Amino acid sequence: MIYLLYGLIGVLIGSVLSVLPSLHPLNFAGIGVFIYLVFPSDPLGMMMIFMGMIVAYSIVGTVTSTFMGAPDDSTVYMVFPNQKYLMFGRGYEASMICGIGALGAVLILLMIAPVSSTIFPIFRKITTPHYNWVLIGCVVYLLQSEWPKDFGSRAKTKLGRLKDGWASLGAGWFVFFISMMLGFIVMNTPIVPADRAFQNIMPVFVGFFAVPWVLTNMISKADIPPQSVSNRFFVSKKDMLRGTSAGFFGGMFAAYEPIITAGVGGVFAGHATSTQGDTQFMVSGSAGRLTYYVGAFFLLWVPLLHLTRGGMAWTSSLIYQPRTESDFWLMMSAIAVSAVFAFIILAFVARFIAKMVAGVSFKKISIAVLFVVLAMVFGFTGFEGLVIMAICTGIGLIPPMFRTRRLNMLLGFFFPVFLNMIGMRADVLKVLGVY
Amino acid sequence: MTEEKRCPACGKPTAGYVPCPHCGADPRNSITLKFAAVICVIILGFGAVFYLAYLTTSEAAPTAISSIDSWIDYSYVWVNGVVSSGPNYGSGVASFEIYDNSAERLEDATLPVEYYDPVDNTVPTVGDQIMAFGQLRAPVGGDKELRISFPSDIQLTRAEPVATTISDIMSTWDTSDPLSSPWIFKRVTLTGTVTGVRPLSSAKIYTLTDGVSDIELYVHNGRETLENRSLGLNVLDVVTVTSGLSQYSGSPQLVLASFDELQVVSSENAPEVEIQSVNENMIDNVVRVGGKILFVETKGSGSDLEFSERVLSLDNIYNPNVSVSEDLLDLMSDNDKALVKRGTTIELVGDVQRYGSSVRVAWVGPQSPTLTSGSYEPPSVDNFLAITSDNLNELVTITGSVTAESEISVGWLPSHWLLTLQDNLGGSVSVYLPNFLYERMESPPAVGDTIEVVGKVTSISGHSLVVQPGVIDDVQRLS
Repeated sequence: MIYLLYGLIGVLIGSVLSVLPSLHPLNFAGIGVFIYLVFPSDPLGMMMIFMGMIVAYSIVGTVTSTFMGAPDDSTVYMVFPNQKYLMFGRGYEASMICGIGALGAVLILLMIAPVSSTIFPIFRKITTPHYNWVLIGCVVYLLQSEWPKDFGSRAKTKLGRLKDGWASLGAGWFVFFISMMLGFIVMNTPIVPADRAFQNIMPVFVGFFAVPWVLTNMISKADIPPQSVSNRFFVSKKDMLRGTSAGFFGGMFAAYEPIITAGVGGVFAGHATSTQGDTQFMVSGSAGRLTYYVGAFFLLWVPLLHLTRGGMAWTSSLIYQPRTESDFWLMMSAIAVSAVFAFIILAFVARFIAKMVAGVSFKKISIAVLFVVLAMVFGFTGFEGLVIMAICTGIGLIPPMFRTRRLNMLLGFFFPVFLNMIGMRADVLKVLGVY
Repeated sequence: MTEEKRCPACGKPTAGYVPCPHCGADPRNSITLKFAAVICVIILGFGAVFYLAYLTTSEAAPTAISSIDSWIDYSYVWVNGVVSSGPNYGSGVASFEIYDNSAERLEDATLPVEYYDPVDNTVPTVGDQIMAFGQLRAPVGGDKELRISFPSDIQLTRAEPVATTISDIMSTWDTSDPLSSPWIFKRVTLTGTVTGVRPLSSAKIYTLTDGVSDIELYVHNGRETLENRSLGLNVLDVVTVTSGLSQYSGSPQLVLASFDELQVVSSENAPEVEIQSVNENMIDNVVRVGGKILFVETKGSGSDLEFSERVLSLDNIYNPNVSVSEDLLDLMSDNDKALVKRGTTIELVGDVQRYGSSVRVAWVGPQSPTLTSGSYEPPSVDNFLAITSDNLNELVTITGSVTAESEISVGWLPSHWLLTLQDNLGGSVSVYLPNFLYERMESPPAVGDTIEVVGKVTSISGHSLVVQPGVIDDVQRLS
């Protein structure tokens, strides 16, 4: 039972960290390993804490996405309806719908757990030789599937119309390319001080997503209206089911496939299942996010699979590697209890913030968030981290300016990892002069 | 149209429109917290069942070695089996192999293991039953390997030794099917006499005999470093060994895991024989011989510039020679090795062997020969024209100036060199410098140099008589 308690402690820690904008689960893992090194304890218990943190991030973190507008890669594509709900006074409802979607994903995860040690190894055996072309296909699909944006005015010349058509698409390709260049540099040269290297990606994520979002919020000058707090949520069971299942498939695809993130998986799942409407979008987004983060951690524990995917799994596996089938069942049990506990916390936190946030200037919140973000980046990564963050902010502002996908940043940033997997890393680095 | 005039979600007037024209909420489709509560209860139900499963399952599930494939590269797995070789020691790592009987072919069911920062009492030895947990490496087209990082990831059941004999092991051994042997991967105790050693770059392989059969004893060099001492075995030592029985290329091989597992019970004495008395009747006998070294002739490997052996002439150049392989010579201390030179009196144990039409004594290891420093200079020849075919195989000392030099090509290797040496009387003789000597000379003799050469009169293909030095020091530059 003590291990379940460890999980609940993780949920509490994760809930606090989730409310802080700009933190990513990778930062959670880095902080967790740091704590473990300073205060060595039961490694399995530490893993339970990690699990609790990641569950809390996936469930309680929707509050941040909804009320504070500091999305990461997995929230960015679902945050638009959340923001819309917020502006209609339905922020609490949006948070709870997302929370229920995440609970649905937990339920599916628990349902497949008993057969996971049978199906996942087979799936892995079949798909492992094909990672390379699957990943190339994903990148090409994501870049090619973006549709030209309608800017509301039709250019008079063919050349003008061609230029309009390619404006957002070209920006998307450009963002992908410079993010890839950044990925090569950040992941191959020690920019962040060595004693903080475990947080070297943090300023990138903050710069890509959090700061541009805060800046656009500040420009928008919007005030948050009074929020309705009701225990009735206007979403159909069909939308819940469809959104949850689509999100689960997208999230699990992202969790399973290297390089692919929750946002990318969500796009694929959305396209594959024709997800429609804001509620399906929100539900599938939150379900996909939970499945991506918790699912990746879950894969590490599946007996006879031991697939290490996701930052939390990679980082925490330095401390402990699952050894027996009983470890897996314990982890599954802890995920169940932690998810319910996190949902309860979500309900209280969302209700509390919904009551507090009314009338507060969105701009003031954004400024406060910006200071928190800057303080955290400086605290974790020093001045060098702030420089990286500033560069990434410049890149992160391109997608909203040109109305292209933010996911291209993530895809580009992690593309060097893919090149590493296919053995081309050294060649590319030599060309870039960083090797 | 609906009865609600205000949207229950955003609170704005709807004028009866459904869904809400402001926020899009549709009051006809809604759920409540009860819906979430039901999901929570179901989730907690799963949690309870899984917790029960946790309490009732505890056995680790090992992965069959034969099933390891590249798709589980980097996985953490348990492997259960018997230690089939090792341990070998590297820098901060002990390596061994596990066999788990999951395939018919030995190599398909054997997995190499690297154990990092090993704690000595947790290092497995051949014959131990082992359950090990570690990270698997199985890259496409690469070698499989299990990497263990912590002593707690190894569960060992030490093998109990069984007394047997070398003959018993060898009589039941089938080199084409070593797995059929009742002794393979068992821990055994046996007694044998050391009859030789074969040094490798990373280990020494001793040969033990019980008078009927021979068996190899593998001792990894890393063990010497770890125990900070040498095994100290000598040829003809009678030893009792307790060790695991592994195999190499189908042949049985004892693997010594600790020097404490070997005790020298006694030592046999080799009969002393005068070197000039060694004859064909003694072939395959081990004898003790001695004498003054008159000449040391270095032999090259032929395929590279390495030395293969040295041939010693004792007391008289017409006596049977003593050959020493370079590997065995390297087992000696640097001081002793330096004493194996012209003029030293030596006493050693060797095996009488047939060599072409004659016999010779082959130095067997391990041994520490008796060496007494001395000197010997072959007769000096002032008139080189006096060196004829009558002097073939005789040792000479000649001094003269180099008047010409030529190369003898040997394919892709550096050339041999032929120097023309002229005496004060105007006569000349050729000095043959094989490439393995010439390339080791810091400043090889060149035209115009005056040199002194100690060598054997011999003949080489395509040339008349030459004088060939035996070692580098046989060539001295005088000016």
